[in-house]
Amino acid sequence: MEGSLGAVAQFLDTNIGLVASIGKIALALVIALQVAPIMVWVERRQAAFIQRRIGPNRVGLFGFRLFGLGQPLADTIKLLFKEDFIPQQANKFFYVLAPILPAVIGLVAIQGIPLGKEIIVAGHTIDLQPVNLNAGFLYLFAMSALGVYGVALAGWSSNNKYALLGGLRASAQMISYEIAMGLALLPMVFIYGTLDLQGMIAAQSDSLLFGFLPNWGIFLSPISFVLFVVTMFAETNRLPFDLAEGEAELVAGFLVEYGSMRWSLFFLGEYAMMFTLSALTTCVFLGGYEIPWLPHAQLVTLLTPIFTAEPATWVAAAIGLGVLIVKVAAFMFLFVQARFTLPRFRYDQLMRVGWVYMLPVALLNLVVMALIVGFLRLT
Amino acid sequence: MNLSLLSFIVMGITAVLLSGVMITRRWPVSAAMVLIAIMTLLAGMFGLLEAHFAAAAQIIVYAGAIMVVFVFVIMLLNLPPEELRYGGVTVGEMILIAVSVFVAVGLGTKVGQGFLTTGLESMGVAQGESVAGGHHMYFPASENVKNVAASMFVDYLWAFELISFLIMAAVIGAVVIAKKRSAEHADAA
Repeated sequence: MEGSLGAVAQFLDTNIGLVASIGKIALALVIALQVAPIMVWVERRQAAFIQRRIGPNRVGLFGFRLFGLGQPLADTIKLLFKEDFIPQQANKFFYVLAPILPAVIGLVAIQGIPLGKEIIVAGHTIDLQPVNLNAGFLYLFAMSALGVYGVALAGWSSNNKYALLGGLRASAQMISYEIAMGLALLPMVFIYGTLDLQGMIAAQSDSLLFGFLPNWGIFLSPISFVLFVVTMFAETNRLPFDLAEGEAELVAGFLVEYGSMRWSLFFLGEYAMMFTLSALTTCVFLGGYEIPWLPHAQLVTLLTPIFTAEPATWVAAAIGLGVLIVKVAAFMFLFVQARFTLPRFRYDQLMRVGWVYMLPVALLNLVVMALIVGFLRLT
Repeated sequence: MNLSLLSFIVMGITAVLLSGVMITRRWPVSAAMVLIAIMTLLAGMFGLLEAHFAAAAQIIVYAGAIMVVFVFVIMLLNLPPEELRYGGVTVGEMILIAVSVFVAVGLGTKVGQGFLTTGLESMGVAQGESVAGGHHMYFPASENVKNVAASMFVDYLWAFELISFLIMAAVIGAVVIAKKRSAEHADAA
Protein backbone atom coordinates (compact mmCIF):
# COMPACT_ATOMS: atom_id res chain seq x y z
CA MET A 1 0.00 0.00 0.00
CA GLU A 2 2.75 2.38 1.04
CA GLY A 3 4.77 1.52 -2.09
CA SER A 4 1.89 2.07 -4.49
CA LEU A 5 1.08 5.43 -2.89
CA GLY A 6 4.70 6.44 -3.26
CA ALA A 7 4.65 5.39 -6.92
CA VAL A 8 1.52 7.46 -7.50
CA ALA A 9 3.13 10.45 -5.80
CA GLN A 10 6.24 10.08 -7.91
CA PHE A 11 4.18 9.76 -11.12
CA LEU A 12 2.31 12.95 -10.21
CA ASP A 13 5.56 14.73 -9.45
CA THR A 14 7.21 13.86 -12.78
CA ASN A 15 4.11 14.34 -14.94
CA ILE A 16 2.75 17.40 -13.14
CA GLY A 17 2.31 19.29 -16.43
CA LEU A 18 0.18 16.56 -18.00
CA VAL A 19 -1.92 16.00 -14.86
CA ALA A 20 -2.42 19.74 -14.39
CA SER A 21 -3.46 20.15 -18.04
CA ILE A 22 -6.07 17.39 -17.75
CA GLY A 23 -7.33 18.90 -14.52
CA LYS A 24 -7.64 22.40 -15.96
CA ILE A 25 -9.38 21.16 -19.11
CA ALA A 26 -11.80 19.12 -17.00
CA LEU A 27 -12.56 22.15 -14.82
CA ALA A 28 -13.27 24.33 -17.88
CA LEU A 29 -15.47 21.58 -19.38
CA VAL A 30 -17.47 21.28 -16.16
CA ILE A 31 -18.05 25.04 -16.12
CA ALA A 32 -19.03 25.13 -19.81
CA LEU A 33 -21.47 22.25 -19.43
CA GLN A 34 -23.21 23.91 -16.48
CA VAL A 35 -23.81 27.12 -18.42
CA ALA A 36 -26.53 25.85 -20.77
CA PRO A 37 -28.95 24.31 -18.23
CA ILE A 38 -28.62 27.18 -15.76
CA MET A 39 -28.96 29.81 -18.48
CA VAL A 40 -32.10 28.16 -19.88
CA TRP A 41 -33.67 28.47 -16.46
CA VAL A 42 -32.42 32.05 -15.98
CA GLU A 43 -33.73 32.98 -19.41
CA ARG A 44 -37.19 31.54 -18.79
CA ARG A 45 -37.48 33.16 -15.37
CA GLN A 46 -36.23 36.54 -16.56
CA ALA A 47 -38.53 36.45 -19.60
CA ALA A 48 -41.41 35.76 -17.25
CA PHE A 49 -40.50 38.68 -14.99
CA ILE A 50 -40.22 41.05 -17.94
CA GLN A 51 -43.59 39.87 -19.23
CA ARG A 52 -45.21 39.98 -15.74
CA ARG A 53 -45.54 36.22 -15.41
CA ILE A 54 -44.01 33.88 -12.83
CA GLY A 55 -42.19 31.40 -15.05
CA PRO A 56 -41.03 27.90 -14.13
CA ASN A 57 -40.87 27.86 -10.32
CA ARG A 58 -42.30 24.44 -9.40
CA VAL A 59 -39.69 21.81 -10.16
CA GLY A 60 -37.28 21.53 -7.25
CA LEU A 61 -34.59 19.15 -6.07
CA PHE A 62 -34.86 16.77 -3.06
CA GLY A 63 -38.10 18.33 -1.88
CA PHE A 64 -36.81 21.91 -1.98
CA ARG A 65 -38.29 24.18 -4.57
CA LEU A 66 -35.20 26.45 -5.10
CA PHE A 67 -37.08 28.91 -7.35
CA GLY A 68 -37.58 26.13 -9.90
CA LEU A 69 -33.91 25.28 -10.37
CA GLY A 70 -34.88 21.65 -11.00
CA GLN A 71 -36.47 22.74 -14.27
CA PRO A 72 -33.32 22.24 -16.43
CA LEU A 73 -33.12 18.62 -15.23
CA ALA A 74 -36.75 18.03 -16.11
CA ASP A 75 -36.25 19.68 -19.51
CA THR A 76 -33.25 17.49 -20.26
CA ILE A 77 -35.10 14.31 -19.34
CA LYS A 78 -38.02 15.38 -21.53
CA LEU A 79 -35.70 16.11 -24.47
CA LEU A 80 -33.89 12.79 -24.05
CA PHE A 81 -37.16 10.84 -24.22
CA LYS A 82 -38.44 12.62 -27.32
CA GLU A 83 -38.34 10.83 -30.65
CA ASP A 84 -35.05 11.27 -32.50
CA PHE A 85 -36.28 12.20 -35.95
CA ILE A 86 -34.32 12.61 -39.19
CA PRO A 87 -36.21 14.06 -42.18
CA GLN A 88 -36.28 11.65 -45.13
CA GLN A 89 -34.81 14.05 -47.70
CA ALA A 90 -32.09 15.39 -45.41
CA ASN A 91 -28.41 14.76 -45.98
CA LYS A 92 -28.03 12.31 -43.08
CA PHE A 93 -24.32 12.76 -42.39
CA PHE A 94 -24.36 16.54 -42.22
CA TYR A 95 -27.74 16.61 -40.48
CA VAL A 96 -26.24 14.57 -37.65
CA LEU A 97 -22.93 16.46 -37.71
CA ALA A 98 -24.40 19.99 -37.67
CA PRO A 99 -25.52 20.13 -34.01
CA ILE A 100 -22.34 18.45 -32.80
CA LEU A 101 -20.10 21.13 -34.31
CA PRO A 102 -21.25 24.14 -32.26
CA ALA A 103 -21.29 22.07 -29.07
CA VAL A 104 -17.74 20.80 -29.60
CA ILE A 105 -16.44 24.21 -30.69
CA GLY A 106 -18.05 25.88 -27.67
CA LEU A 107 -16.43 23.38 -25.31
CA VAL A 108 -13.03 23.72 -27.04
CA ALA A 109 -13.16 27.52 -27.15
CA ILE A 110 -13.65 27.87 -23.40
CA GLN A 111 -10.24 26.25 -22.87
CA GLY A 112 -8.60 29.53 -23.92
CA ILE A 113 -10.01 31.48 -20.97
CA PRO A 114 -7.73 32.15 -17.97
CA LEU A 115 -9.66 30.76 -15.01
CA GLY A 116 -7.23 32.22 -12.50
CA LYS A 117 -3.65 33.39 -12.19
CA GLU A 118 -1.73 30.42 -10.82
CA ILE A 119 -1.65 27.93 -8.01
CA ILE A 120 1.38 26.37 -6.36
CA VAL A 121 1.11 22.62 -5.72
CA ALA A 122 4.06 20.89 -4.04
CA GLY A 123 6.48 23.48 -5.36
CA HIS A 124 5.14 23.42 -8.93
CA THR A 125 3.57 26.61 -10.24
CA ILE A 126 0.51 25.87 -12.39
CA ASP A 127 -0.87 28.53 -14.73
CA LEU A 128 -4.66 28.34 -14.57
CA GLN A 129 -5.28 28.97 -18.27
CA PRO A 130 -6.00 25.53 -19.80
CA VAL A 131 -4.68 26.41 -23.28
CA ASN A 132 -2.21 29.27 -23.41
CA LEU A 133 -1.01 29.64 -26.97
CA ASN A 134 1.47 32.30 -27.95
CA ALA A 135 -1.20 33.75 -30.24
CA GLY A 136 -3.23 34.68 -27.14
CA PHE A 137 -6.87 35.50 -27.68
CA LEU A 138 -6.58 34.87 -31.44
CA TYR A 139 -7.32 31.27 -30.45
CA LEU A 140 -10.75 32.36 -29.19
CA PHE A 141 -11.33 34.32 -32.41
CA ALA A 142 -10.46 31.24 -34.45
CA MET A 143 -12.91 29.09 -32.53
CA SER A 144 -15.70 31.64 -32.68
CA ALA A 145 -15.11 31.93 -36.46
CA LEU A 146 -15.68 28.19 -36.85
CA GLY A 147 -18.95 28.38 -34.93
CA VAL A 148 -20.94 29.44 -38.00
CA TYR A 149 -20.50 26.09 -39.76
CA GLY A 150 -22.90 24.35 -37.39
CA VAL A 151 -25.67 26.78 -38.29
CA ALA A 152 -24.83 26.86 -42.01
CA LEU A 153 -24.66 23.07 -42.26
CA ALA A 154 -27.88 22.62 -40.31
CA GLY A 155 -29.57 24.96 -42.75
CA TRP A 156 -28.25 23.19 -45.83
CA SER A 157 -28.59 19.56 -44.73
CA SER A 158 -32.20 19.87 -43.53
CA ASN A 159 -33.35 20.22 -47.15
CA ASN A 160 -35.86 22.87 -46.17
CA LYS A 161 -36.11 26.32 -47.75
CA TYR A 162 -36.60 28.14 -44.44
CA ALA A 163 -33.63 26.34 -42.93
CA LEU A 164 -31.43 27.10 -45.95
CA LEU A 165 -32.29 30.80 -45.76
CA GLY A 166 -31.40 30.77 -42.07
CA GLY A 167 -28.05 29.15 -42.78
CA LEU A 168 -27.27 31.66 -45.54
CA ARG A 169 -28.17 34.57 -43.30
CA ALA A 170 -25.95 33.24 -40.55
CA SER A 171 -22.87 32.96 -42.77
CA ALA A 172 -23.33 36.44 -44.30
CA GLN A 173 -23.85 37.94 -40.86
CA MET A 174 -20.81 36.20 -39.41
CA ILE A 175 -18.51 37.56 -42.14
CA SER A 176 -19.89 41.08 -41.72
CA TYR A 177 -19.45 41.32 -37.97
CA GLU A 178 -16.20 39.42 -37.56
CA ILE A 179 -14.22 42.30 -39.10
CA ALA A 180 -15.68 44.88 -36.74
CA MET A 181 -15.06 42.46 -33.86
CA GLY A 182 -11.38 42.12 -34.66
CA LEU A 183 -10.95 45.86 -35.22
CA ALA A 184 -12.69 46.59 -31.91
CA LEU A 185 -10.12 44.54 -30.01
CA LEU A 186 -7.02 45.77 -31.88
CA PRO A 187 -6.63 49.01 -29.85
CA MET A 188 -6.51 46.89 -26.68
CA VAL A 189 -3.61 44.92 -28.15
CA PHE A 190 -1.43 47.96 -28.53
CA ILE A 191 -2.56 49.53 -25.28
CA TYR A 192 -1.41 46.43 -23.37
CA GLY A 193 1.32 45.51 -25.85
CA THR A 194 0.43 41.83 -25.78
CA LEU A 195 -2.05 39.29 -27.16
CA ASP A 196 -1.79 37.15 -24.05
CA LEU A 197 -4.88 37.30 -21.83
CA GLN A 198 -2.89 36.70 -18.64
CA GLY A 199 -0.62 39.59 -19.61
CA MET A 200 -3.63 41.82 -20.31
CA ILE A 201 -5.15 41.02 -16.91
CA ALA A 202 -1.83 41.72 -15.21
CA ALA A 203 -1.57 45.06 -17.04
CA GLN A 204 -5.06 45.98 -15.84
CA SER A 205 -4.44 45.26 -12.18
CA ASP A 206 -0.92 46.56 -11.55
CA SER A 207 -1.82 50.25 -11.38
CA LEU A 208 -4.74 52.63 -10.86
CA LEU A 209 -6.12 54.99 -13.49
CA PHE A 210 -6.04 58.65 -12.29
CA GLY A 211 -5.23 57.25 -8.85
CA PHE A 212 -8.67 55.81 -8.06
CA LEU A 213 -10.20 53.88 -11.00
CA PRO A 214 -9.10 50.31 -11.67
CA ASN A 215 -6.91 50.34 -14.81
CA TRP A 216 -9.55 48.45 -16.82
CA GLY A 217 -9.85 48.34 -20.59
CA ILE A 218 -13.40 49.68 -20.42
CA PHE A 219 -12.02 52.99 -19.10
CA LEU A 220 -9.01 53.03 -21.43
CA SER A 221 -11.02 52.53 -24.61
CA PRO A 222 -14.79 52.72 -24.03
CA ILE A 223 -15.65 52.76 -27.75
CA SER A 224 -13.86 49.45 -28.25
CA PHE A 225 -15.89 48.00 -25.39
CA VAL A 226 -19.24 49.07 -26.83
CA LEU A 227 -18.31 47.85 -30.33
CA PHE A 228 -17.08 44.53 -29.00
CA VAL A 229 -20.19 43.86 -26.93
CA VAL A 230 -22.43 44.60 -29.93
CA THR A 231 -20.44 42.32 -32.23
CA MET A 232 -20.50 39.68 -29.52
CA PHE A 233 -24.30 39.61 -29.74
CA ALA A 234 -24.06 39.25 -33.53
CA GLU A 235 -21.40 36.57 -33.35
CA THR A 236 -23.44 34.38 -30.98
CA ASN A 237 -26.65 34.81 -33.04
CA ARG A 238 -28.54 36.28 -30.12
CA LEU A 239 -31.38 38.77 -30.31
CA PRO A 240 -31.46 41.43 -31.73
CA PHE A 241 -29.16 39.66 -34.21
CA ASP A 242 -30.82 36.23 -34.41
CA LEU A 243 -31.79 36.65 -38.06
CA ALA A 244 -30.78 33.02 -38.66
CA GLU A 245 -33.77 31.91 -36.58
CA GLY A 246 -36.22 34.74 -37.11
CA GLU A 247 -39.43 33.02 -35.97
CA ALA A 248 -41.65 35.64 -37.59
CA GLU A 249 -40.38 35.23 -41.16
CA LEU A 250 -38.36 31.97 -41.18
CA VAL A 251 -40.41 29.86 -38.72
CA ALA A 252 -37.25 28.94 -36.79
CA GLY A 253 -34.61 29.15 -39.50
CA PHE A 254 -31.90 26.52 -39.26
CA LEU A 255 -33.66 24.88 -36.30
CA VAL A 256 -36.86 24.04 -38.23
CA GLU A 257 -36.12 20.36 -38.81
CA TYR A 258 -34.40 19.68 -35.51
CA GLY A 259 -35.95 18.17 -32.42
CA SER A 260 -35.17 16.38 -29.16
CA MET A 261 -31.54 16.28 -27.99
CA ARG A 262 -30.08 17.40 -31.33
CA TRP A 263 -32.02 20.64 -31.01
CA SER A 264 -30.69 21.23 -27.52
CA LEU A 265 -27.10 20.58 -28.62
CA PHE A 266 -27.31 23.83 -30.58
CA PHE A 267 -28.14 25.59 -27.34
CA LEU A 268 -25.32 23.90 -25.48
CA GLY A 269 -22.93 25.31 -28.10
CA GLU A 270 -24.58 28.73 -28.17
CA TYR A 271 -24.46 29.17 -24.40
CA ALA A 272 -20.90 27.86 -24.15
CA MET A 273 -19.89 30.39 -26.81
CA MET A 274 -21.77 33.16 -24.99
CA PHE A 275 -19.89 32.27 -21.83
CA THR A 276 -16.55 32.19 -23.64
CA LEU A 277 -17.02 35.54 -25.37
CA SER A 278 -18.32 37.12 -22.15
CA ALA A 279 -15.25 35.81 -20.36
CA LEU A 280 -13.05 37.22 -23.13
CA THR A 281 -14.71 40.62 -22.70
CA THR A 282 -14.21 40.35 -18.96
CA CYS A 283 -10.52 39.55 -19.39
CA VAL A 284 -9.85 42.32 -21.91
CA PHE A 285 -12.07 45.09 -20.55
CA LEU A 286 -12.96 44.30 -16.94
CA GLY A 287 -9.82 42.92 -15.34
CA GLY A 288 -10.68 39.21 -15.63
CA TYR A 289 -10.47 37.23 -12.39
CA GLU A 290 -8.92 40.12 -10.43
CA ILE A 291 -10.84 41.82 -7.65
CA PRO A 292 -10.87 45.60 -8.32
CA TRP A 293 -8.27 47.50 -6.25
CA LEU A 294 -6.82 44.19 -4.95
CA PRO A 295 -4.27 42.54 -7.28
CA HIS A 296 -3.71 38.79 -7.05
CA ALA A 297 -0.28 39.13 -5.42
CA GLN A 298 -1.68 41.30 -2.63
CA LEU A 299 -4.57 38.88 -2.12
CA VAL A 300 -2.12 36.01 -1.71
CA THR A 301 -0.07 38.04 0.81
CA LEU A 302 -3.27 38.78 2.74
CA LEU A 303 -4.29 35.12 2.79
CA THR A 304 -0.87 33.62 3.59
CA PRO A 305 -1.02 34.21 7.40
CA ILE A 306 -4.43 32.45 7.55
CA PHE A 307 -3.80 29.46 5.27
CA THR A 308 0.04 29.16 5.04
CA ALA A 309 1.88 29.68 1.75
CA GLU A 310 0.63 27.03 -0.71
CA PRO A 311 -3.03 26.71 0.30
CA ALA A 312 -3.23 30.51 0.20
CA THR A 313 -2.71 30.40 -3.59
CA TRP A 314 -5.48 27.78 -3.87
CA VAL A 315 -7.92 29.95 -1.91
CA ALA A 316 -6.91 32.99 -3.96
CA ALA A 317 -7.50 31.01 -7.17
CA ALA A 318 -10.95 29.91 -5.94
CA ILE A 319 -11.83 33.52 -5.08
CA GLY A 320 -10.54 34.61 -8.51
CA LEU A 321 -12.70 32.01 -10.27
CA GLY A 322 -15.69 33.25 -8.27
CA VAL A 323 -14.96 36.85 -9.29
CA LEU A 324 -14.62 35.82 -12.95
CA ILE A 325 -17.93 33.97 -12.84
CA VAL A 326 -19.69 36.94 -11.19
CA LYS A 327 -18.41 39.29 -13.91
CA VAL A 328 -19.36 36.86 -16.68
CA ALA A 329 -22.77 36.31 -15.09
CA ALA A 330 -23.42 40.05 -15.36
CA PHE A 331 -22.78 39.81 -19.11
CA MET A 332 -24.98 36.73 -19.47
CA PHE A 333 -27.74 38.66 -17.72
CA LEU A 334 -27.25 41.47 -20.24
CA PHE A 335 -27.72 38.92 -23.03
CA VAL A 336 -31.01 37.78 -21.49
CA GLN A 337 -32.21 41.30 -20.80
CA ALA A 338 -31.48 42.36 -24.40
CA ARG A 339 -33.28 39.32 -25.79
CA PHE A 340 -36.58 40.23 -24.18
CA THR A 341 -36.45 44.00 -24.52
CA LEU A 342 -35.09 44.70 -28.03
CA PRO A 343 -36.92 43.85 -31.27
CA ARG A 344 -35.11 41.96 -34.03
CA PHE A 345 -33.36 43.92 -36.79
CA ARG A 346 -34.57 43.74 -40.36
CA TYR A 347 -31.97 42.06 -42.56
CA ASP A 348 -30.98 45.20 -44.48
CA GLN A 349 -30.72 47.09 -41.18
CA LEU A 350 -28.43 44.38 -39.84
CA MET A 351 -26.13 44.70 -42.84
CA ARG A 352 -26.18 48.50 -42.67
CA VAL A 353 -25.32 48.52 -38.97
CA GLY A 354 -22.42 46.18 -39.63
CA TRP A 355 -20.85 47.73 -42.71
CA VAL A 356 -21.93 51.38 -42.74
CA TYR A 357 -21.79 52.24 -39.04
CA MET A 358 -19.76 49.77 -37.02
CA LEU A 359 -16.88 49.18 -39.42
CA PRO A 360 -16.00 52.89 -39.98
CA VAL A 361 -16.40 53.64 -36.27
CA ALA A 362 -14.12 50.73 -35.44
CA LEU A 363 -11.53 51.91 -37.99
CA LEU A 364 -11.67 55.49 -36.72
CA ASN A 365 -11.37 54.29 -33.14
CA LEU A 366 -8.35 52.21 -34.16
CA VAL A 367 -6.59 55.18 -35.77
CA VAL A 368 -7.36 57.56 -32.88
CA MET A 369 -6.25 55.06 -30.25
CA ALA A 370 -3.09 54.33 -32.24
CA LEU A 371 -2.25 58.05 -32.34
CA ILE A 372 -2.94 58.48 -28.60
CA VAL A 373 -0.91 55.43 -27.58
CA GLY A 374 1.93 56.41 -29.93
CA PHE A 375 1.95 59.95 -28.53
CA LEU A 376 1.99 58.69 -24.93
CA ARG A 377 4.84 56.30 -25.70
CA LEU A 378 6.92 59.10 -27.25
CA THR A 379 6.52 61.55 -24.35
CA MET B 1 8.31 8.33 -29.95
CA ASN B 2 6.82 11.25 -28.10
CA LEU B 3 3.19 12.33 -28.14
CA SER B 4 3.58 15.45 -30.28
CA LEU B 5 5.54 13.64 -33.01
CA LEU B 6 2.92 10.89 -33.05
CA SER B 7 0.03 13.36 -33.34
CA PHE B 8 1.91 15.28 -36.02
CA ILE B 9 2.25 12.15 -38.15
CA VAL B 10 -1.36 11.10 -37.55
CA MET B 11 -2.62 14.58 -38.46
CA GLY B 12 -0.44 14.72 -41.58
CA ILE B 13 -1.59 11.34 -42.87
CA THR B 14 -5.23 12.20 -42.13
CA ALA B 15 -4.88 15.50 -43.98
CA VAL B 16 -3.45 13.78 -47.06
CA LEU B 17 -6.16 11.11 -47.01
CA LEU B 18 -8.88 13.74 -46.58
CA SER B 19 -7.50 15.65 -49.58
CA GLY B 20 -8.24 12.54 -51.62
CA VAL B 21 -11.71 12.35 -50.10
CA MET B 22 -12.28 16.03 -50.89
CA ILE B 23 -11.69 15.85 -54.64
CA THR B 24 -13.90 12.79 -55.01
CA ARG B 25 -17.02 14.24 -53.33
CA ARG B 26 -20.07 14.64 -55.54
CA TRP B 27 -21.76 17.37 -53.51
CA PRO B 28 -19.80 20.66 -53.47
CA VAL B 29 -20.86 21.29 -49.85
CA SER B 30 -19.28 17.99 -48.78
CA ALA B 31 -16.06 18.90 -50.57
CA ALA B 32 -15.99 22.31 -48.89
CA MET B 33 -16.56 20.76 -45.47
CA VAL B 34 -13.74 18.26 -45.96
CA LEU B 35 -11.50 21.13 -47.06
CA ILE B 36 -12.32 22.93 -43.79
CA ALA B 37 -11.38 19.78 -41.88
CA ILE B 38 -8.06 19.67 -43.75
CA MET B 39 -7.39 23.31 -42.89
CA THR B 40 -8.10 22.62 -39.23
CA LEU B 41 -5.67 19.68 -39.33
CA LEU B 42 -3.02 21.92 -40.92
CA ALA B 43 -3.58 24.45 -38.14
CA GLY B 44 -3.05 21.67 -35.62
CA MET B 45 0.22 20.75 -37.32
CA PHE B 46 1.38 24.38 -37.23
CA GLY B 47 0.50 24.41 -33.55
CA LEU B 48 2.60 21.29 -32.92
CA LEU B 49 5.53 23.02 -34.64
CA GLU B 50 5.16 25.80 -32.03
CA ALA B 51 3.91 28.20 -34.71
CA HIS B 52 0.85 29.20 -32.71
CA PHE B 53 0.26 32.40 -34.63
CA ALA B 54 0.30 30.60 -37.99
CA ALA B 55 -2.14 28.07 -36.56
CA ALA B 56 -4.57 30.75 -35.37
CA ALA B 57 -4.22 32.71 -38.61
CA GLN B 58 -4.82 29.54 -40.64
CA ILE B 59 -8.18 29.01 -38.93
CA ILE B 60 -9.24 32.67 -38.76
CA VAL B 61 -8.36 33.55 -42.35
CA TYR B 62 -8.92 30.32 -44.28
CA ALA B 63 -11.40 28.21 -42.35
CA GLY B 64 -13.19 31.12 -40.68
CA ALA B 65 -13.43 33.72 -43.43
CA ILE B 66 -12.60 32.50 -46.94
CA MET B 67 -14.36 29.16 -46.59
CA VAL B 68 -17.44 30.81 -45.09
CA VAL B 69 -17.78 32.79 -48.33
CA PHE B 70 -17.22 29.61 -50.37
CA VAL B 71 -19.88 27.75 -48.41
CA PHE B 72 -22.19 30.74 -48.70
CA VAL B 73 -21.94 30.78 -52.49
CA ILE B 74 -22.21 26.99 -52.81
CA MET B 75 -25.30 26.94 -50.61
CA LEU B 76 -26.81 29.91 -52.42
CA LEU B 77 -26.55 28.10 -55.80
CA ASN B 78 -27.31 24.75 -54.14
CA LEU B 79 -26.77 22.76 -57.34
CA PRO B 80 -27.35 19.01 -57.13
CA PRO B 81 -24.45 16.85 -58.44
CA GLU B 82 -26.44 16.00 -61.59
CA GLU B 83 -26.21 19.60 -62.81
CA LEU B 84 -22.47 19.83 -62.35
CA ARG B 85 -20.14 18.83 -65.14
CA TYR B 86 -19.09 15.21 -65.26
CA GLY B 87 -17.16 13.83 -68.20
CA GLY B 88 -13.93 12.32 -69.42
CA VAL B 89 -10.59 13.76 -68.40
CA THR B 90 -9.08 15.89 -71.19
CA VAL B 91 -5.42 15.81 -72.24
CA GLY B 92 -4.78 19.22 -70.69
CA GLU B 93 -6.17 18.05 -67.37
CA MET B 94 -3.98 14.95 -67.49
CA ILE B 95 -0.88 17.11 -68.05
CA LEU B 96 -1.95 19.34 -65.15
CA ILE B 97 -2.41 16.30 -62.90
CA ALA B 98 1.05 15.00 -63.84
CA VAL B 99 2.65 18.37 -63.09
CA SER B 100 0.85 18.70 -59.76
CA VAL B 101 1.86 15.19 -58.69
CA PHE B 102 5.47 16.09 -59.55
CA VAL B 103 5.30 19.31 -57.54
CA ALA B 104 3.55 17.60 -54.64
CA VAL B 105 6.16 14.85 -54.43
CA GLY B 106 8.99 17.37 -54.61
CA LEU B 107 7.52 19.69 -51.98
CA GLY B 108 6.33 16.85 -49.80
CA THR B 109 9.69 15.16 -49.59
CA LYS B 110 11.56 18.44 -49.08
CA VAL B 111 9.29 19.47 -46.22
CA GLY B 112 9.12 15.91 -44.95
CA GLN B 113 12.91 15.63 -44.96
CA GLY B 114 13.22 18.83 -43.00
CA PHE B 115 10.92 17.47 -40.33
CA LEU B 116 11.78 13.78 -40.20
CA THR B 117 15.56 13.98 -40.37
CA THR B 118 16.08 16.80 -37.91
CA GLY B 119 13.07 16.41 -35.60
CA LEU B 120 10.94 19.07 -34.02
CA GLU B 121 13.48 20.45 -31.56
CA SER B 122 16.53 20.85 -33.76
CA MET B 123 14.86 22.81 -36.57
CA GLY B 124 16.54 26.15 -37.13
CA VAL B 125 13.47 28.24 -36.39
CA ALA B 126 12.69 26.47 -33.14
CA GLN B 127 16.26 27.05 -31.96
CA GLY B 128 15.89 30.81 -32.15
CA GLU B 129 19.20 30.90 -34.02
CA SER B 130 19.80 32.70 -37.28
CA VAL B 131 17.74 31.26 -40.12
CA ALA B 132 18.60 30.84 -43.78
CA GLY B 133 18.96 33.92 -45.95
CA GLY B 134 20.83 36.02 -43.43
CA HIS B 135 17.70 37.13 -41.54
CA HIS B 136 17.88 36.77 -37.83
CA MET B 137 15.17 36.40 -35.22
CA TYR B 138 14.50 39.58 -33.29
CA PHE B 139 12.84 37.86 -30.35
CA PRO B 140 13.03 34.44 -28.70
CA ALA B 141 11.40 31.70 -30.77
CA SER B 142 8.47 31.46 -28.31
CA GLU B 143 7.45 35.02 -29.24
CA ASN B 144 5.60 33.98 -32.36
CA VAL B 145 3.59 37.10 -33.09
CA LYS B 146 6.50 39.48 -32.54
CA ASN B 147 8.73 37.48 -34.90
CA VAL B 148 6.09 37.38 -37.63
CA ALA B 149 5.50 41.10 -37.22
CA ALA B 150 9.23 41.84 -37.30
CA SER B 151 9.85 39.97 -40.52
CA MET B 152 6.69 41.44 -42.06
CA PHE B 153 7.34 45.07 -41.14
CA VAL B 154 11.14 45.16 -41.02
CA ASP B 155 12.73 42.61 -43.32
CA TYR B 156 10.05 42.25 -45.96
CA LEU B 157 8.19 45.56 -45.63
CA TRP B 158 8.40 46.41 -49.34
CA ALA B 159 7.29 42.98 -50.51
CA PHE B 160 4.44 43.06 -48.02
CA GLU B 161 3.23 46.49 -49.14
CA LEU B 162 3.51 45.50 -52.81
CA ILE B 163 1.32 42.46 -52.16
CA SER B 164 -1.34 44.73 -50.69
CA PHE B 165 -1.25 46.73 -53.95
CA LEU B 166 -1.61 43.51 -55.91
CA ILE B 167 -4.65 42.49 -53.86
CA MET B 168 -6.19 45.93 -54.28
CA ALA B 169 -5.66 45.73 -58.05
CA ALA B 170 -7.37 42.33 -58.04
CA VAL B 171 -10.34 43.69 -56.08
CA ILE B 172 -10.74 46.66 -58.42
CA GLY B 173 -10.41 44.34 -61.41
CA ALA B 174 -13.17 42.09 -60.08
CA VAL B 175 -15.47 45.09 -59.56
CA VAL B 176 -14.75 46.41 -63.06
CA ILE B 177 -15.48 43.03 -64.68
CA ALA B 178 -18.73 42.68 -62.71
CA LYS B 179 -19.80 46.22 -63.66
CA LYS B 180 -19.10 45.60 -67.34
CA ARG B 181 -21.18 42.43 -67.32
CA SER B 182 -24.13 44.09 -65.63
CA ALA B 183 -23.95 47.07 -68.01
CA GLU B 184 -24.07 44.72 -71.04
CA HIS B 185 -26.93 42.87 -69.40
CA ALA B 186 -28.83 46.13 -68.92
CA ASP B 187 -28.29 47.06 -72.60
CA ALA B 188 -29.57 43.71 -73.80
CA ALA B 189 -32.70 43.91 -71.67
